Amino acid sequence: MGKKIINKAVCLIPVVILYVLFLAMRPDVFGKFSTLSMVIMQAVCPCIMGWAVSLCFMAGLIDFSIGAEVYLMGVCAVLLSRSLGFAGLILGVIIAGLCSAVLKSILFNLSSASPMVMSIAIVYFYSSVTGFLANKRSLILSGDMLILGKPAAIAVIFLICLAAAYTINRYTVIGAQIRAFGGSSEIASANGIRPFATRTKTIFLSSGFSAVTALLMVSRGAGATPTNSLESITLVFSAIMAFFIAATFSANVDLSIGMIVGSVCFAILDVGLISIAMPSNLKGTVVGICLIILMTVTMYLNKKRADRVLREVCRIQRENRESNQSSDGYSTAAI
Amino acid sequence: MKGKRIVSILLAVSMVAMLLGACGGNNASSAAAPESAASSEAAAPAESAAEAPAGQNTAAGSDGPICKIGMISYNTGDATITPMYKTIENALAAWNVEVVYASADMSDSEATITAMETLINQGVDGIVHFAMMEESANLVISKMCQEAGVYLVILDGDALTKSENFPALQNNPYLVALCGADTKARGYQVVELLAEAGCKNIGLLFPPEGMSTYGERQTGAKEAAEALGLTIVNVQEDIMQLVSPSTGYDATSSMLASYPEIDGIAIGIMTQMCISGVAKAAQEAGSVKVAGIDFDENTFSLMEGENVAGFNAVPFGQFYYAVVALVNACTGNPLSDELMVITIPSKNYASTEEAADYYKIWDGGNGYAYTDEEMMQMLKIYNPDFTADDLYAIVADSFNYAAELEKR
Repeated sequence: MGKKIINKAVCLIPVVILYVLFLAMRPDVFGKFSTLSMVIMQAVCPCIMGWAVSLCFMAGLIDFSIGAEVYLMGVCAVLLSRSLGFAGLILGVIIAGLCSAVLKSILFNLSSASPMVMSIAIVYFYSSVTGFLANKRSLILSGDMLILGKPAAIAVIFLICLAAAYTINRYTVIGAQIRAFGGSSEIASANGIRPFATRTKTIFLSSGFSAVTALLMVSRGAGATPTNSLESITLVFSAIMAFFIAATFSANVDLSIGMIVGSVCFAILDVGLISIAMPSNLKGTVVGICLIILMTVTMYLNKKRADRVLREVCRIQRENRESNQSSDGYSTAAI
Repeated sequence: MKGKRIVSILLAVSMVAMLLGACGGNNASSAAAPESAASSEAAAPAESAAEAPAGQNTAAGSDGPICKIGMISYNTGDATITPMYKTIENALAAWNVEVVYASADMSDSEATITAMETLINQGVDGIVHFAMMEESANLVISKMCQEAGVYLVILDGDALTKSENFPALQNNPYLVALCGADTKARGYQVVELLAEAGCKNIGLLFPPEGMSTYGERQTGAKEAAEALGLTIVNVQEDIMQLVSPSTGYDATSSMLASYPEIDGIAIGIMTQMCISGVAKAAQEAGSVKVAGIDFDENTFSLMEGENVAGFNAVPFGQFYYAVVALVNACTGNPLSDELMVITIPSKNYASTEEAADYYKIWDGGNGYAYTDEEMMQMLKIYNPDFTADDLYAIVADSFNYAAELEKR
């Protein structure tokens, strides 16, 4: 039991190392509970978006349009909130989310083009539509609509999403189908998993997480804005990086938990680099170095663990062989 | 097979929808051109055209467009671009100038150069070009136009005058004008807003100093801080932090958590895209003031709050003045034999009323600050007495002019 907990706690090491590192450099900032709380709050949106991205990735759908989808939903939500109030805010993301999910399902299922290429086309389309809807202007959300941007609301929404992501990954048929489909679509199809239904369900679930991200983003930022054509992909890249970090810990914890680790790591880096006044042009370099170190160390540890397991398997096989040989010898002698 | 056909149809419909979305306004302006030119206001300038001295081209006797101008249609969230384009399009329609468009991303130099080639191949007489952040791209475009014999104006090109490549640009006889607000002055002014609001320690969310087009804003802000006795505690130069309200919120809350002594934040670029998030983070941190460069009508409500100290703005019509120079050159009547550098004034707005007035003057961003008749008078083809000095005077008076207009 204790070993199991330690095994799971390993994924917290990068978070602790990064936090302690910045704590050592700026104890006045990172020693405060408010900073810790801020870091966690900043990690929520990328994390929920990361769950959307991870679902698509697991199903073999490399979808870069999730960022553009989030911006589109945000703009629709703010626009509808002007006439329908808070209900409009919710309705906006739901309507935009449903439309987006239907469109993506049709395109990803019926087109022979690679989902990645198709998703870039969708990014252009959504950016254009968002710019048209927002009249190429920023949209401000009035103060009474910002309830969902408060820390308590964010925490509740996050926990609900975590429960949903964890349940989908671990305990649902669709979660298993997504993994099977992502592993090998041919084998999955041969085993009765229908590609159309799996892709469609994946896209709808992913859009659901995107909708929550959009809702939190507009509530935290008190507004929404259209983006330039491919600008929204930056948002997806952060989620993809968090996904890769999560994937390296997949042997220790579920992907949904690993995603939290990845997102929190990036949030610590974001806040930490500002606090040590790191020049902006070096930020990318530092983030890249951190990612390389993290991935290398994790892969080394995973390889070491795999070697250990392999050695153990070999030892058991050898013992079995030896015991079989000795029993054969005994039988022969008896005859 | 049937599925693929459906997808193809859907994609085609999507493409058409995108085209309509992006070019809807432009089509309207192109279509409006002949009507505007035929308006009664055009009658008066036509009379003066008859008195044009020998050697100058006039519009007399011509029914078709007086020239053909190419512009790039940008898909951008920058709220200042749309009203600026509307101002230009209104003028081109009034002058009976044919407009053709090519599309590109504002930050994509390669796509912009390709778009320029497209415009040149369409036989345009002149091109309106937004300065690219990569300076080499501006040089390439300038050379392309020179080789093709197409006149060019570069918008937001004021910073190019300080570049080491400026002599190369000056040697291009087809480069008519560089036009833009004084970037350094705008950086200075936005910090003045914070000083007036009582700030002592400020943080900057500014483009990097090395950036060719907007880098000088930070230099101006630093000069202002020194002159006004303010301390710049932290500078964030990652403009990707300013692309949306939520990223602006995160960047500001991180900065304020790291430097609690900050009591004012100046935004040096894309203010209207991130201001709501920045102002929210500032409000949550207490009495932190925020000021920014550029704004739109949707951000008015934020000025009512105690945290927003104000905005710095340039006249929406700022680039209209460059197009005056361009159309004059394209019709064979250049205003100057040398490259014109048109520097646009900028101004601080510290209250909702002032900001609302600004919008009213510029017709809510619809770009109708000048009447058709007044615009006609700025073309030598209709008013042979119009000179470069007259244009410079109009530019210098653009804010006063706006005040005059308000009185009418």
